[in-house]
Amino acid sequence: MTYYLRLASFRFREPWTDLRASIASYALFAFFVILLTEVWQRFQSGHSQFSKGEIILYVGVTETLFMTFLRMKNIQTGMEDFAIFLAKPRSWIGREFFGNVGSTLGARLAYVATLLLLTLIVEAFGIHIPVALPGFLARLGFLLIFLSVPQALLTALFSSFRLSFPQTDYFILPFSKLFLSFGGVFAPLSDFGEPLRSIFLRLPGSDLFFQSAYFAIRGECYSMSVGTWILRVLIIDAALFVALLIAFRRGKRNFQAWGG
Amino acid sequence: MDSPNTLAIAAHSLTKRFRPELPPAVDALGFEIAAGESVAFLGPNGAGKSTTIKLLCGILLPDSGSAAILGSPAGTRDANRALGLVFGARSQLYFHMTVEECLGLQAETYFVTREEARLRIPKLAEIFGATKLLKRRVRELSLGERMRCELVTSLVHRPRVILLDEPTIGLDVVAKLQLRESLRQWRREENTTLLLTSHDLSDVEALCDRCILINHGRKAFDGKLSDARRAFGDRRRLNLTLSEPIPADLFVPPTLYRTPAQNEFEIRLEFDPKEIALTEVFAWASTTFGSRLADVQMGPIELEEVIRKHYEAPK
Repeated sequence: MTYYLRLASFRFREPWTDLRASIASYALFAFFVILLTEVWQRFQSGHSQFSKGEIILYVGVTETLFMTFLRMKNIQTGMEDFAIFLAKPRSWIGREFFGNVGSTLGARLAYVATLLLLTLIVEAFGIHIPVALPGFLARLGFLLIFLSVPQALLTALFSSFRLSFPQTDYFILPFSKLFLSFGGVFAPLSDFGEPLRSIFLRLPGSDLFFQSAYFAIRGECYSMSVGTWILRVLIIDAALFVALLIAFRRGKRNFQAWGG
Repeated sequence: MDSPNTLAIAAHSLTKRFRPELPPAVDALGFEIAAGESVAFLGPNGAGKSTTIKLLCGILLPDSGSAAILGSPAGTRDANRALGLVFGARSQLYFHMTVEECLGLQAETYFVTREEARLRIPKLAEIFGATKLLKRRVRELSLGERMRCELVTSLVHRPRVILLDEPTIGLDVVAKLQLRESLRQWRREENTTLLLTSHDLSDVEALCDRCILINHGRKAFDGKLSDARRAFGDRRRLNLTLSEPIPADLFVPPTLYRTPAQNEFEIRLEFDPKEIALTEVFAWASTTFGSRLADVQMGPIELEEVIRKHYEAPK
């Protein structure tokens, strides 16, 4: 376990070792949070369930979670490392899981730091953020760790798929961009009209893309208890883990038979 | 502890076919490498070198036949723990971390204790001239420096067998020489079994005593490097450069073998001193070209040429 934790810390530090190179992406992140907040408010014509300050946090949390979700770089790294880890006395699945958890946490913390800085700036411009910061940060901290698990499993799953199927990039899009869109960039599902709201809420993905930011801001889940939501995410984790084992075995068999 | 008779690498009738309609990439290949041997594994592109290396370390599974590392079947955890791997085209370092941190992680990958790693890393770093690089981030290193660190990384766990796949690819002459010298020094100290694939035959001559040549997945030659040369009769190479173009109707004695020249002013010959005496060769050159002879170079046939001849030789 020490090895895997050390590996996670390696990958965690990756976005922090060269902040200067990534400064533009953090600035862009802050810009989009403000831009999408304005767009959202115009669409809702002031009828949103959230105040402007909350929307800033909502969009910020959604972007933090889903701009770092299923990154192509991590999927590609996982695939490239597959062969060499067949020749090493360590588990590729373990390596991928902990590596992705570390990498995702590192990237997300950098965005969270930007978001906090942004809230200080907007408060200075008179936009009230009506959320108690310690509680919000505690919930966000829990979310970052809790949601890094399905993220890491899904990334490893897609790396495994790539070993069997050369073209899987198109399937990544619904998970990354659509999660980002429905998670709060279009609007939170609670602001959607019926019947779309009910349809989207029944999707298993809504536990990840919708409830997360809602929970971070409000401290509760929409239309379900926090316990039920956690249980549902754990079921998603278990399903992803089983799918990963199957995809890994298939990918390994395929790779060892055909050379990838 | 291995028995003294345990082979470092044993491959028996290894066969691997990627597509039913294609000939096998590796075809009933068998060889044995004793502990402490230093062997070059050579062949043209597509000969099956990389496939064999992948079969030896478990990245690929053979269709038939078997391979073992120190008696453990290839690809098993015991076999993998005994192996060190260096792929010239594939880094095992993390570019955003320092070399020292990467070495620490590599040590843990192979279950090396921190105490062992603390003693081992400085020693290896010294041999490979990487002591000053330990605190630097990998992304700041030049290719030559990184390759030295890759070698240290692959040796941290004291592997008993090391597979080097094109370790000097892309390096300049100075970096190559430094790397070879470090490898030689390390070999003297640890006597690890080494299997090297390289397109640079000067690597092979500097590091290996034995070579296995493969072509079309089959073994074409297996023996000492000196025997590979001797198989072609200890031929000598003679390059003559004239001050004017070589005449098209030039007569060459049948015991002198002409090989392709680089330009129209040059003639390249090979001869076996047992078939024609050196004095006769020079007498012919002097008589034929006289004062037009501008330069003469003579030496043994280069290993590249020997290998090329092996592949061209009728089977």
